[in-house]
Amino acid sequence: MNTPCKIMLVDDDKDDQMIFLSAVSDISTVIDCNCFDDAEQGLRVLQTNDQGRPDCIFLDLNLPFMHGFEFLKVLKNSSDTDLNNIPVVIYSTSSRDTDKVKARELGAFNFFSKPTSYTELKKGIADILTGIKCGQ
Amino acid sequence: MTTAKQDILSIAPCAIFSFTEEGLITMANAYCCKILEYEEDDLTGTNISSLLTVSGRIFYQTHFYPLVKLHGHFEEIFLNFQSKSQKDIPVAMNAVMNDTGNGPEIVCSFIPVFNRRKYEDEILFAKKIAQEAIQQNEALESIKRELELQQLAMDKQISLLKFQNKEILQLSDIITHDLQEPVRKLMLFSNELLQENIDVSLKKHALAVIQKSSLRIKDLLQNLQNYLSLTLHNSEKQKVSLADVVKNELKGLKSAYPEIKVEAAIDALPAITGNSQQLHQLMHHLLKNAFEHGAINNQLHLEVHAVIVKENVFSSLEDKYKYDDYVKLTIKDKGNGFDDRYNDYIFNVLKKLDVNSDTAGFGLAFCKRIAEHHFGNIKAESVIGQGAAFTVMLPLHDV
Repeated sequence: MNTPCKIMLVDDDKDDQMIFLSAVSDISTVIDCNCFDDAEQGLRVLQTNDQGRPDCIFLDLNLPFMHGFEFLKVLKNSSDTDLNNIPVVIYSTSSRDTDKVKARELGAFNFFSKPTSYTELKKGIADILTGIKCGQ
Repeated sequence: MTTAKQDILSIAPCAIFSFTEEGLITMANAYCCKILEYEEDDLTGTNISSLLTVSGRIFYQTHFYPLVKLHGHFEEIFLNFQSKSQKDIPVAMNAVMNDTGNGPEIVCSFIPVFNRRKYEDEILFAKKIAQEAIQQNEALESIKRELELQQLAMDKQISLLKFQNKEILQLSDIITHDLQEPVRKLMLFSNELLQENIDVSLKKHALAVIQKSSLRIKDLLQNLQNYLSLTLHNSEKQKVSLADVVKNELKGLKSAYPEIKVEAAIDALPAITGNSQQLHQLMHHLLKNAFEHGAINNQLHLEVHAVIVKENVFSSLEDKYKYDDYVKLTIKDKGNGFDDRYNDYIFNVLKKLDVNSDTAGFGLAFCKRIAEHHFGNIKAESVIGQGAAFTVMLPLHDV
C-alpha cells in the first residue's frame, strides 16, 4: 500500500488505540491515523473539517455519551455528501448478528469484530483498507 | 249565611258513622250510605262486621277495635268495606271513642281511597326496581373494584416485565461489550506474550494490560452479582423510616470521606412500606454520588427534601388513573453539576460522566433499579455550575 491513507479511529479504549496504531504502522508507513476517545468530539472535527476528511473511519460501538450507532446515524444523515460518503467500519468487540444487521441498515461499510490476536488484527485492517480508495 | 251543623253532616264529602261497642251502627251520614250503597235506615242497627270484607273483618278484630279501645282513638287506618253490591271499598279511616251517657260509642269518619292500592303498587314496583338497580349497581361496583384490582396487578406485572426486559437488554450489552473487552484483551496480550523475541517494554505493557483486564473482569462480575441479587433474593417489604435510612447512610459516608465537610439540611422524612436493605442501598448510592461529585473544595452543601404528593399508581396501562400517596424525595447538592443532556444516561449500567474515575458506573443504575422495583421512579436534574438534584418518587404504601 503506497497511496497515503488517512484513517480516523473512534474508540475510548486506550489499549485498543495503541494496538490499532501499532497494527496500522506495521501495515504501512503512509497511513495517518487520528484517534478519538469520544464520538461527539470526533463528529465535531468531521463537521468543521479542521483536520481534513479521513478516507475511512473505524468506529467502536460501546462509547461513552454517544453510542457508535448514533454517530453513524448522524454522519450518514448529514447533508454534506463529502461527509456521508466516508466509509465507516464498525470496529467493536461485539459479534452479535443484531449489531451487524443494524450497522448495515445504518449504512456502515464493513463490520470488523475486534480480534483476539495481533496477526488477525493486522490482516483484518489491511483487508479492509484494500477496498478503500485512499487520497481522493 | 253559614251551613248548619246538621247540614254539614248531610253534605260533608266524607263518610261519618257511629256504632256501639257491640258493633251495631247507630248513625250513618248520607255520604257513608252512598258509598256503601245502603239507605240510612238500612244501615242503622246493622253490625259493622257485616259491612267489612273477610280481611277487613279480621283487621277489625285484631287492630281496629283493640286500638280504639286502648287509646280512645286512632287515625289513618286502612281497611276494606264491602258495598251492598259486594264491591270492595278501600277506605282510610279515623275513629274516636265517645261516651254518650248511654254507654260508649265509636264515631268514625272515612274517605274511600280507590287509587291508594294502585299508588301503593306503583310505589312498591318503583321500590323493587330501585332495589334491583341498587343491587345491580352494587354488583357492578364490586365487579368494577375487582377489575381495577386486576388492572392494577396487571399494570404492576407489565411494569416488572418492562424493567426485566430492559435489564436483559442491558445485561446482553454488558456481556457483548463490557465483559468481552477485557476477555479479548487477555487473549490478545497473552498471545503476544507467547511470541518469541518479544520486546521487553511490550512484554511489560502486555502484563500490565492482562492484570488490569483481570481486575476489570473481577470488578464487573462482582458488581453484576450485587446488581442482580439486589432484587432477586430479597424483596420482603416492611415499614421503613426514611429519616433513619438517611441518618445511617450519611453517618457512614461521613466516616468514609473524612476530608469532606458536610452541611446538611434535612426535612422531616416519612416512613414508607419498602424493602429496608434496598432503600438503604438507594440512599447510600445517592448520597455517595453527592459526596463524590457534589462537593467543591471538600465542602458539601446537601439538602434532603420530602413532600407527599398524589401520583397515578398506574405506570404502564394507558388511560388508567388511581391516585395514591407518594413521597417525593429530593437530594440536592451545590456542586459543579452536569450537562442536562445526560439526565437519563447516568442511570444506565456502567455509564458514568467522569470516564477517568475508578468507579464502575453501577451506583445510579442501582438506584434506578431499586426505585422501579418499588414501583416508583428516579430522575436527575442539573445545571452546570449550579449543582445537581436527584428526585425519587416512592409509594408511601405497598402498591
